[in-house]
Amino acid sequence: MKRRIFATVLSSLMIAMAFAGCGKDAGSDNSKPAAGSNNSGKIELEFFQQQGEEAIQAGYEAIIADFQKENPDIVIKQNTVPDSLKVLASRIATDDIPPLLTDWPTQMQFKEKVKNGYYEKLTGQEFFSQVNEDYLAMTPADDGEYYAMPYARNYMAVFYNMDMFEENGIEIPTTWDEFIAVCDTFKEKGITPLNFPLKDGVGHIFQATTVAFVPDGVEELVEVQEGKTTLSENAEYKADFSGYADKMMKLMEYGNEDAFGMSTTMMQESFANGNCAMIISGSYGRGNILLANPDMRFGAFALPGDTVDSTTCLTGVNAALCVSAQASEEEKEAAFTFLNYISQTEVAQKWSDESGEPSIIAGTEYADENFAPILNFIDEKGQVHDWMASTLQNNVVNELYNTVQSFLLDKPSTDQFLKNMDDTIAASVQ
Amino acid sequence: MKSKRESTADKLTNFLFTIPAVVLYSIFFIYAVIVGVNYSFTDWNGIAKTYNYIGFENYKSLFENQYFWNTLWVTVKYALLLVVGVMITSLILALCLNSIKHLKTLTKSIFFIPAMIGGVTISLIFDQIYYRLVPVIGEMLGISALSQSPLASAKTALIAVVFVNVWQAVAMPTMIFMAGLQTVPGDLYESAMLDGATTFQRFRYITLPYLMPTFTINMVLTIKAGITSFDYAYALTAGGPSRSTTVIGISIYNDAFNNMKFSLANAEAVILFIIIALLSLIQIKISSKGGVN
Repeated sequence: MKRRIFATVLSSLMIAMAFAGCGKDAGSDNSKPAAGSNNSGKIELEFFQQQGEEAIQAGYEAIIADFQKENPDIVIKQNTVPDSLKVLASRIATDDIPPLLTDWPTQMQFKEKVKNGYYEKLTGQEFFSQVNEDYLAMTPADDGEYYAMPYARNYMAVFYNMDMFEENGIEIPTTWDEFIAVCDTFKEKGITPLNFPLKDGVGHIFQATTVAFVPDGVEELVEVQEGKTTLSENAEYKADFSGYADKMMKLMEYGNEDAFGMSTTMMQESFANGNCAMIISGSYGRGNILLANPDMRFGAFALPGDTVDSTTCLTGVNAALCVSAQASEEEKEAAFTFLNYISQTEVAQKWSDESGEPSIIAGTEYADENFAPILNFIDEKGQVHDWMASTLQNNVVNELYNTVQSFLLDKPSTDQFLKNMDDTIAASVQ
Repeated sequence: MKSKRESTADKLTNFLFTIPAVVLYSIFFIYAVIVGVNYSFTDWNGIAKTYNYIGFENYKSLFENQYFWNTLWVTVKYALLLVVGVMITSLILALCLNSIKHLKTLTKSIFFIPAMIGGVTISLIFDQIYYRLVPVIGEMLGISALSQSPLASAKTALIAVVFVNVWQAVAMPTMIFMAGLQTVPGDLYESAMLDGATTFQRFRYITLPYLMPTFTINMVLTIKAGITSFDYAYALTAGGPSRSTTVIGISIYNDAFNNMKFSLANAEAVILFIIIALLSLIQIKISSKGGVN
């Protein structure tokens, strides 16, 4: 009998513990890294920073440390997690939005968050006067208001080994023909001109090459997405993307034989070790290359189109800073204080120097002179295009990556490629 | 003899013992399944605060989508290859390990090591082996098929991914088979040997029937692992090249988190659930007809 009583009590206890574990005590929630006021009168803010690169995290840590010296009552705690977009989506689903965070304001997923009222409207804030107007113009939400402070930009470009270029007397090419001539020269000298990381899919290389080879290509794809036409039927679009297909096939002739087994990281490592003269990379790749070979001299230039005038560079706003609409007034005030602080030229310059990211705050200069060709091109020429996700649906872009990868791998006819692109968009569009 | 009252009290005690497990199972599994099924009938994108019920639209669009059928076919191929690879390898390993006379525990422990390493970790190691080592071996042996990473070709990528999965997945079925081998009475082998049975005949008519229940367990577990597999393909190829390794797990993940089609991803998960349930039922039905219980 005693045993039964003991068993009954034990069972009840286990049930109670299970419920206690699942329950949420508002006063003792330790799951969040930091939020709200603490007993010492200080306010703690979680800063959910979505870029995992070590240099970027270090850049933010440096300016946060300086900020706290000037604002001892505001404690900013940077929190960076792997797969941050997924984590953020889960946190949003459970009404646990970090009070201060980064996000990509030109992407459709950001606009969806704005539409649902998750982000605080920032229009009219003082710090916007410090932000480069061209990039700021990329960021309004569908209602025309601003919900994020852009802080840095990114771009896709041709990264080139400066020593190889100098040793072989090669100048930076500015047109497609010049670019092919450079590739031919390297090939003749036994140097692999390009490395492609096609194991990860065509990814950003598809975006960069589309913008470079078909300046209106993204807009044409948007029309196909909207069901207005198809690449196979529209004569102009057919010519544009047939030309794109030819150029991609030509580029592959200068690439590595193991392209479909090479990941992006492997490509960066291969480039850093001098196995090729050039790669098509995002600005985010610079840090990894320097990590693999800190002494390497490399720079970047715009992937050339047919002519200098038609050459267009893919560039966009990097993760921008947002404030949660669900944050308390106190937290919002602290977040605005932080945003005003980091929008100062000298603070942004320090962040840029530490992180290696090109800032878009007025008065800042990019420290690495080797990247002047690409940054000057973007700033002076103004022939730029935003990332596809700002106008094309995410799933359409992702499926097009696969279709272009199949094209490069299986080499179907150009007509078949165009049909596959049309079918992919039709099957993926929501 | 127990009184009726005592018997009822015993039953109540036993019932109470099951409550913690039932409650936890209900909260973390049954509730989650119900919510998931519910979302599969909506148009929720994973971010919006509201959603609409759209009936079977998600299921309809899935069945009309060529990529979904491709994903299902890849998943079936993956599961079949995994089952064949794991069952044959683990059975051979179990028979070999069972016949070892010395250092049996140490050897078993060594063969169990892969099961203790994470799938993603193993995938990353094999990614490097495929990329750096395989082409060197191919060149040395003059085999052109191995001149590049097997992950680089749509024809070989799935086999290469399943190989990594098999490499890790054999450990547990091997242990289960070894446990099953302990149930075979030794005197049966002696009688069979006296009757002049060959090694194969002893395996076919004594070992195999006794192993059938174990076979069923391993088969069900491996089929389930194959159909729900995600980490190996995702870490090694992310579904490529040319969608040749896009198993349904990757499709669900991409639709839920990359494509903002959360409700569609739930519909895919429901279909996956139905497939696993059906396969498990068929498997148990077929396997229960033979063997020694």
